[in-house]
Amino acid sequence: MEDNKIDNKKEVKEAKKIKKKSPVRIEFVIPITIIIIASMAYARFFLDGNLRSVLQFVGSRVNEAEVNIGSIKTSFLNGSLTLSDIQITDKGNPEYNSLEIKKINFDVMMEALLKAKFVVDDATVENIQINTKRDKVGELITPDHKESSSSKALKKTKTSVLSSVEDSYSENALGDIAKVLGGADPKDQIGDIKQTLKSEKRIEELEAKVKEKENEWKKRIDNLPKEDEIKALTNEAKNIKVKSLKDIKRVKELIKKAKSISKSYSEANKALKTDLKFSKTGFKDIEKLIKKDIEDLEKRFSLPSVNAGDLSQKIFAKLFDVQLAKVRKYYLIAKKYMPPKKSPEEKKPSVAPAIRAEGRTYTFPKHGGLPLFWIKNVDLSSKSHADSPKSGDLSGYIKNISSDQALIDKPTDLLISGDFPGSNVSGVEIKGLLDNRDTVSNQSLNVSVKSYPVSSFVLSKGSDLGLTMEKSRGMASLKTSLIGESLTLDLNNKFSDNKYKVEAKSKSVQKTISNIINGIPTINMTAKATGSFEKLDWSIRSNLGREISKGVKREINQKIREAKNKIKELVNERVGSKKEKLLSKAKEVENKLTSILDKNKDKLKDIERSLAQKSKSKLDSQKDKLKKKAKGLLKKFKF
Amino acid sequence: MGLILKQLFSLIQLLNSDTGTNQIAAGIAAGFILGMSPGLSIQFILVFLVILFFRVQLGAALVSMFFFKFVAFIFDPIFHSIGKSILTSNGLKGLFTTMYNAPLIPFTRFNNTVVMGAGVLAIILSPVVFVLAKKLVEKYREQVVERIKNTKAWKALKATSLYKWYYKYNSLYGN
Repeated sequence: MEDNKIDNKKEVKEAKKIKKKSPVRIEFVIPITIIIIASMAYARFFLDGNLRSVLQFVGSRVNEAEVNIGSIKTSFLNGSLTLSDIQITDKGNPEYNSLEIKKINFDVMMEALLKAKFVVDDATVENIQINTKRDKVGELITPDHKESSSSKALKKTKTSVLSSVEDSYSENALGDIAKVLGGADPKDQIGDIKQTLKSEKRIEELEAKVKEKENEWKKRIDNLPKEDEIKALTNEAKNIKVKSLKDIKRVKELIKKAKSISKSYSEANKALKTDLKFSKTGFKDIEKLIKKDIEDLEKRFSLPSVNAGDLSQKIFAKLFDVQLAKVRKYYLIAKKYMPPKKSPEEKKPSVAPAIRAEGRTYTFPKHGGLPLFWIKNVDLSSKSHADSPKSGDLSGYIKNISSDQALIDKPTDLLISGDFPGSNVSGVEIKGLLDNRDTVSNQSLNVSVKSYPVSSFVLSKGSDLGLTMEKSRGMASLKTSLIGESLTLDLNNKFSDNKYKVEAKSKSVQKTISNIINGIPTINMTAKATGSFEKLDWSIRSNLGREISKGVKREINQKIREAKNKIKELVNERVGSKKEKLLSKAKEVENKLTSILDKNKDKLKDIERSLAQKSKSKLDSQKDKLKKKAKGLLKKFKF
Repeated sequence: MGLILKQLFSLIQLLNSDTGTNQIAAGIAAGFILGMSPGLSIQFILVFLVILFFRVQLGAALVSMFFFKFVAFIFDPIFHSIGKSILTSNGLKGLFTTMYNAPLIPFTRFNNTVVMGAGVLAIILSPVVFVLAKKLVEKYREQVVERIKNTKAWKALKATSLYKWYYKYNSLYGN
């Protein structure tokens, strides 16, 4: 009974309960409604402020210097985003902004937002100013110690590019020239020759050899038939009277003896001449060695030479070394956020094989497929203001900034042109193309400025010589192309209406350099670079370098000639006297030996001749006598 | 965790009562759809929101989802082949292309064979699951609950002051 009562009560209560509860779960709907209202309130009152803080924070870290945004206004109903008073601090000079923009407005495509894509149909950027003074010095952001791999890559690239350029760049580009023109005379650099010269060594060797030969020949001459023997032979030849056949026989013996002695002298003479040849060859060697010694000394004292190309490179390298690193930095940033199309190897297969539980994902043709991020068009405009001298009359556009160019099949296109009347800069044109539609990225940037002022451009700074372009009017054009990792850079600069300031310790140097540079009405500078950012082959050519080097070369050549003569003098001073001494000694030995040999040889010839004559006259008289006797006998026998 | 346990106790209580058959069956059917759906997708969130929005038995939905999640992978090859045949059907190509380019719909991952197969099969079979679940709950109540209620042990338990105290408490603070 009691149980039935409880069950009945329970049923009635449950029936009441069911009736009370609606099919909609109110306890869920209410909190959800509250969350939605709170989100809307947040979007209405706090989103703009928070977005501003986030953008400032991220921008400051990317720029490594403070970035300020005056205000941000978002409207979900209109799909618009407006940023006002943007100031980007110049990292190198935090008192100034590298860029200041009054207003940027984005009209966002709402349909794309529903697809979780950020697509801007049209954007406007108003009043762009560069290098404006900040109200407050911008804070510099030191990068975290834990560097990301991308920032490491940026740093590495920057360093490698800078070092490759800095290798060829010298702040004191004309320092060596000043040294040569002014103080440091190569003649003075030579000083005293302390080393042993090759020619000198050879002379000493030859001296020893001449002495050795002299001794050798003395001994040999001593072994030849003595003077007394020749004298005795001479006397006998003089005194001999040829009367009989016996005498003739003796004469013949004497002739034989004279011939034998003469022969030994002739042989000695011949041998002497052969021996003397060595000294003649040796003397020729000495001449050669002296020349070699002079050359070696010239090399040792590194007589300066001026290369026009090197000089141009040293003077103008700083014009684009840092800019090159900056270009590379922004190229890497652009590559990161607007990557080239992935190659099939890099690409993950979009249609996966029929893996269990993963299935297979089909793709369908995309009609107006949208990338994650796409700004279709940005109109840029800026008007110059009298109160802001750095502001310019600029107009232009940037089209198709996209995270997937291959999808939209459009490259990023940039064109900005205008003037900066306050800064006296006119004819600025920037044309850029960033084409990452294919696997190989293709980028180009052409910048030209028809006229811009140059002031206090230091060409060379050093204690010996300083050259500054105080005032000039420049014209520049820069063409860069980057296909994949291959960079081509072509920079042309022209400076006219130039006024220089030459500072030098030496007045003659100052005068020489002033004369040279004042004779150049226009300076042309052409820089070319090819290769990758890591390994860039580049060269700079300029008529300034050529003209300076030409003028300086004249001066240097004069100094070089003087230095060479000085070396010659020094060598001759050391070697010349020894050489002369050796030559005269050799000649003396030769003459002495030759005269001994020749004198005796002549005597022997005379002996031979007189004996032969005596013998002949005796024989002739004997012949005549015999003839007469024969004739008498013939007459006697009546023939 | 507390909320899930509360929902589970509520399911046991409801299962043993005479009311809420449709809520439990709807929960099981919804849990079946969730369990068959691979991974997290927009339709998963939508079905879950429907469960939360309407008075569907949440405990039943969670238990059902938990159970079918473990079982679903066995049917993946079937889902794949069904999904493949649907996605490669020439007649539906235009529709799928439009869906593919439409906002939000790509988040459903409908172009995946397993998602498509599981989704279509789960939606088609959910009314069957609902009917089956309803029948099973009714059968459970008739054959199991009634039998237990008629046992002497249950009657003895109901007669205790502890049960009376629990009953009172439940009627005051319970669902």
